[in-house]
Amino acid sequence: MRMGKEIKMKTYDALSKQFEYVKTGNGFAEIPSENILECTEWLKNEAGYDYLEMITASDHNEKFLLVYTLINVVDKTDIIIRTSVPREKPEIDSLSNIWTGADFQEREIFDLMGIVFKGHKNLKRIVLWDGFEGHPQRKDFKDVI
Amino acid sequence: MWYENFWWHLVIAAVILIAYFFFFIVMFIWTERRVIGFFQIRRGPNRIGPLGLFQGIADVIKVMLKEDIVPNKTDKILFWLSPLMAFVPVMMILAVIPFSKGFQLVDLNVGIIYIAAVSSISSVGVFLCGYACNNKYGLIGGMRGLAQFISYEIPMLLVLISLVISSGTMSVNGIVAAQSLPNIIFMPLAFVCYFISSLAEINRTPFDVMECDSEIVAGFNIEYSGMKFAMLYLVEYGEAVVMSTLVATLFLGGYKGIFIDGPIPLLIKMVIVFLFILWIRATLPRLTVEKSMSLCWKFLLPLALFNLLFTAVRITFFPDLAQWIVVLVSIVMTVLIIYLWSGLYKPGRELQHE
Amino acid sequence: MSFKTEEYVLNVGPQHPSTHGVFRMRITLDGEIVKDVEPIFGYLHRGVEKLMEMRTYKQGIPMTDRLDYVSAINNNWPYVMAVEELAGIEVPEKAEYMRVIMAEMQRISSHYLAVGSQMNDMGSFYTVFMYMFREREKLTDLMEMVTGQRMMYNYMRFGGVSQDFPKEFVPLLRKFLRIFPKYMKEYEDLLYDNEIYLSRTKGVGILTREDAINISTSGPVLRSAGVDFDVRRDLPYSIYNKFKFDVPVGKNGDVYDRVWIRMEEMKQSASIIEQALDMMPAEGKYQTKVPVVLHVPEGKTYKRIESPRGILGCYLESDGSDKPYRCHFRAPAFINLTALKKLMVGQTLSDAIITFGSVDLSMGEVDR
Repeated sequence: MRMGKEIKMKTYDALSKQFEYVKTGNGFAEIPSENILECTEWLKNEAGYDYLEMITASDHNEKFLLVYTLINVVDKTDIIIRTSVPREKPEIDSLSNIWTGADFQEREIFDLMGIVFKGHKNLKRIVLWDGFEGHPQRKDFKDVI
Repeated sequence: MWYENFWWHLVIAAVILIAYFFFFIVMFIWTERRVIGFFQIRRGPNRIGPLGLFQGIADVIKVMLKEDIVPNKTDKILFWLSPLMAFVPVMMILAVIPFSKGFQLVDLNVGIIYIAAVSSISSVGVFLCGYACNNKYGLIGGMRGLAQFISYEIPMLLVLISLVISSGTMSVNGIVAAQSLPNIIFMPLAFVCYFISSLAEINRTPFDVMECDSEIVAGFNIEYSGMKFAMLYLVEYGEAVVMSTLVATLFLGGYKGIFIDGPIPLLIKMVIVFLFILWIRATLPRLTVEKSMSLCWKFLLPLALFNLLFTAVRITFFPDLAQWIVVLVSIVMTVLIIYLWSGLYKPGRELQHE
Repeated sequence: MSFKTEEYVLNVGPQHPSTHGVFRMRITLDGEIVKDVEPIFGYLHRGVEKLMEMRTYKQGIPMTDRLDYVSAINNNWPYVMAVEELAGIEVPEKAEYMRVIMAEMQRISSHYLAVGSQMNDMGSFYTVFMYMFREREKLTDLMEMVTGQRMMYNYMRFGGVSQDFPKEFVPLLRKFLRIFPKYMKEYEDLLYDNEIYLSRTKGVGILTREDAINISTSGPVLRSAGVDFDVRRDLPYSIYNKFKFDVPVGKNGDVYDRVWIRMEEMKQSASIIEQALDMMPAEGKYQTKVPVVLHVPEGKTYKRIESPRGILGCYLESDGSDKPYRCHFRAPAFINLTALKKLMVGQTLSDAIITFGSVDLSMGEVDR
């Protein structure tokens, strides 16, 4: 456990040394949304974090907060990366070309939250039916019933 | 004289045969569900009648009373005709089987050829059932089943030829009369080949790719309901009845019992063969189509050919050998051949994917 | 002379005996070989994540039960752990042991169902299925003795569990664990030497190591590809660092390995339960006192556990009120589903159905 925490701290330090826009603290790293692809590719190829565990989004009224967690299966540690996109233009680069596991998760976030992932090959609704209008998980979604 | 054109006895015998056929189908429906229930540590049907004995009748009545739905775009004539074509030839095989000394509907002197010919019509009927229902699942089921049918007839016919050679006559009555000891003792390899081929012919596990209900949802009988489905349902059990009777006749000695001759020993042997088929169904998973094809062409066909060669050599060159020598040599040779051949044949992946 | 062939589309529809739930696939076939798979789901979508935002924290616990309804106790755990971390609630030691025992019992139960329905897909006509359900019934009876429910247990609470073990429970559980190895030996003798079973599972549905990590699979699917990763041992939660257990890892990544891993994991779970029963303190509280309407301070956290299907995680955001602001579940079956395209393309239809069964989906989790 202690070794895991040390490796985690070392990774956060290396990450903030590599890219100057990274802000770390409290157990996560915060980066602007344009650099997500660059950052995760570096983590995958150089730092050994090649297992993308989860992608989530949540609605904080002026912006959407996106959370990515990655795991290093050899050193057995995990790190958390956060970014945010503005509400008027919710777009971000898709990770599905590097990680196939991001495919369905990004489609679900598009379906329920309305964030568009640029570069995703098959971005359509996954859980709701195709003619549905609106994005239910947003805070201002009013159901008709 | 007035009794020279007497034909009433034929009609009565035919009615008795048809009654035998249907009675045993109904009994086998109950037997199957109850015995497989015991294999699976549960009770089978136990509500209708004492011990659930009337379950078969209840099943048949229920299926006959259901609505007969005909889908829209099917070929109506084929849809109506194919269950009949599958059902009727199965009953016709019973015409040549002797139930007691001289008690037989027709005593054909080419009985074996008649059996082989008639049993092939039913397979075409079953394939047409799959084709006529305008449904991809049915078509897949029908095609797979037809490929299996045609392939497994070849070892079966080779074994029948070796039976004819060993008994010296083609009539079924003659084959039974020539069995002083049951044929299974003299020709165990033939029995193994014939039994496995017959299991494939009647679409029973492990060869039930035609109706496997975990992949193609009831296969060829997916669109049939009502009386047509009743006929297809009866075809499955009817073929089991007929095949058990055939195995009991050709290999187990027919109507010859230990103390008495007559229909009772035949019925007992038939029930034993059917229970063995049930045992196999309850235990083994099913083979895929490629593996069952490869089992036929690479494993059974050479065995059947070898059996034919061995029988021919025995009859031609050593016709007066003592019985116990023949039995010993047969059993030793069977065990050796099956052991050696199955060492060479491994059911691996037959289709090469690139 | 070459044949002109056409590909056709087979709709393995929402109602099918072997799709383990309401799941639809459109398979493009060329003869018998699968060329393309398109999974379509969402038939069981109830909007659990949005519904949890409108209920208090405690009312959200029964909603988590209904996610993966086959192994229901495991779903409570990450949510309860996340709330406990944000609110700073301590869990007494006896309650931790009780949680571990119930979760491992649930793991054995769920693996019985997975292997049983896998054998059913292969056509062995419910025989193996019935035998495995004989044991599953005993486990369900034991869990009914503790929680009062047979399927949606609703057992864990913030700060512990909801009820203590009754005094008949531990002797009966020990009796079950005594006869458990005999049943496992029976299954191994029946399965591992069966020629038909071996020929249908070896070399079928192979997943390589790089693919398994790239597709983010987890659980037995990941471990069958040769990746030695188990959350209970590597990123331990609760008191799992006190138990000694092995993690089975496969070599080839085919269906045989996945079934083998599930059978071995059942044995390891039984050994964990025995160790927990021996180490559990006899006295102790089973739940710390928590107000009925809990106000959780602000924060964001992510907690993960190892469920029978993979890594189950809960991401919780709270804003200081008595209802969660955002609660998301990382469902293992949903992400393992991405591997279908890789696994099924290039096989025949029968092999594809078996491969699909070996991934072990549970649709409540996929659709949420």
